[in-house]
Amino acid sequence: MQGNRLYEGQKLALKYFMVAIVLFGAQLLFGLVAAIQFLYPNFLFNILDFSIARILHINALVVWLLYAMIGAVYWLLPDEAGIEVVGVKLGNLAFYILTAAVAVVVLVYLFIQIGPGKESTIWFITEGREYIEAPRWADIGIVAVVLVFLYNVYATVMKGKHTGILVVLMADLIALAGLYLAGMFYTDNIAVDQYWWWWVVHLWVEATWEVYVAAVGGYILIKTLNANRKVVEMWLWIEVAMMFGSGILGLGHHYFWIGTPEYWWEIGALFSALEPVPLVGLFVHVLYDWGKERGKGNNIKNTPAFAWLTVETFGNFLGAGVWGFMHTLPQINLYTHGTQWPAAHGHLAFFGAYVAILIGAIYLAIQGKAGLKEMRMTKASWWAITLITVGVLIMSVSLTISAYVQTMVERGQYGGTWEGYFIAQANQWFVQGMGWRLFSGLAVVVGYGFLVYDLLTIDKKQPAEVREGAVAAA
Amino acid sequence: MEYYIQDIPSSHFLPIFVVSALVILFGMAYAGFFTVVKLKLVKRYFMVFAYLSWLILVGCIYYLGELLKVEPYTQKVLIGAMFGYLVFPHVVYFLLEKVHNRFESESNQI
Repeated sequence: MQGNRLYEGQKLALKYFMVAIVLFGAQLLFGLVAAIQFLYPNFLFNILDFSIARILHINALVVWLLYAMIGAVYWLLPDEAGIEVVGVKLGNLAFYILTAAVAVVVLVYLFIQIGPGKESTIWFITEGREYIEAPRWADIGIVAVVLVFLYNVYATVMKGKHTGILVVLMADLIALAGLYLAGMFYTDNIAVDQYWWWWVVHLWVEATWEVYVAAVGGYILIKTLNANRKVVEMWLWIEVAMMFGSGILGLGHHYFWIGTPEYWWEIGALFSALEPVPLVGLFVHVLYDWGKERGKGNNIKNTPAFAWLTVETFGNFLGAGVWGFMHTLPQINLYTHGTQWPAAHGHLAFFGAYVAILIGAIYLAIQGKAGLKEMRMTKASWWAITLITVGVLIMSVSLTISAYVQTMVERGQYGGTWEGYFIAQANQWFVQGMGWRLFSGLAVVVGYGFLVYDLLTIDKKQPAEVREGAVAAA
Repeated sequence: MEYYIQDIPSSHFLPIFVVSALVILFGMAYAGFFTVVKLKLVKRYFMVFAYLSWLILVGCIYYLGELLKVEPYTQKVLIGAMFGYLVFPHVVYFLLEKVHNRFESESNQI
């Protein structure tokens, strides 16, 4: 920001954030449809089948998180580098191309729900790989857009200031973009296909995205708490080393049962057990900074953003750490794999690790756009954070109860047979868990309503002293 | 020697899930108590809870190893790792303290 004026790169960031929030809504909507279909399988049958609702639910999540991530980088990039984003016009063009491509892909999913699986299907309908189902034409488009984004980031940092946060992001983004290529080629062998596919999914979610979050989290700490930049950056390097150290070979816990050699059991078990360690380090770091800054009389400069950062710290620990470790070791994963356990873990981990911090980044951008020196929570902020957080927590607990039934009945009692599968699905505890999941999903949707309302109005609802500060600054 | 995963009786599933969760929670409790005591946010005697959490963590890890029927060698490695974790918050805190002191004294000089 230059005084009260935004950089062009930051205006582009706001566009990315806007689409991200719309896609967040789509994710919740299709998630709700899928949750209803678990209880009432005839719901929208032959109109919007479960398989499509699920694809849209998951892909909307991945895409909106990527939009918000790109947005957050475009927001902090000129601020950190101290110059306008290089190639911002190209960045704008890439944004419109990407958004049009996402809209076309979603329409194709909706209009062509079933059909034969041919070579042309991979190119024009879907590649059929969970989480990254986009057809190949869209894949190639995504690569082109990401190359523009990378060029903009690299060219800007080369020309401007090289802060620690930016250098970490540069290294991380190149890995994040490069790994996407591993999910683009097709092989006839499902084990080989899965082997490479996990490079995208695991090495994104449990390595490069974690590092991204540490970098953006550091930026938010500096902006909201006035934390010492050198301390934040120094610690960032340690966290990066720990996250890559445990996260890369943590990949092994996805290789237990897909036809890969058995040495992955030991590798997966060891590095999965190490994966919570950086989260403990991150927790100690945030606690330390908060404790140090607390006595200095520094006001929190953006309470909604800081509140979401706090949710991120605990949510990441609970979702990724506790829920992850409960079912990950190979001895127990033999019985939990393919049940609702990964769903319980995934919902809380994605929310805790990524959703929370990216919402925090959006609040930071709203503050910057309004030119406010300080931004405080409103009632709508409070309702949004409470309903969404509690909703996701109840959702994860409900899914855990259903998962436990599956583990005991389907796997323990019936040895993973089809008979066991259907008996477990009809078990009243399983069904009740799914019922509570639907209820908590509704709470999250209401929370989302508050969130959208808050993002649109929070700058106008700030107390007089904060607004006067903004006028004086302008 | 090649290791094969042993069958686990279904009656052990619940203890495994609970103890696994406790491993992470007591691991965090140890690091959390340790940090807040060091930062003087609570009284010094709370450090007892930190080390108590670590002891419970060691017990949980041992019990988890038994429930998962891990090899004797792995069981030893797990307990060894717990001694590593005993040192971990000390190292993290030491690094943070050094970094803070170094950079804060530099900014004071400016």
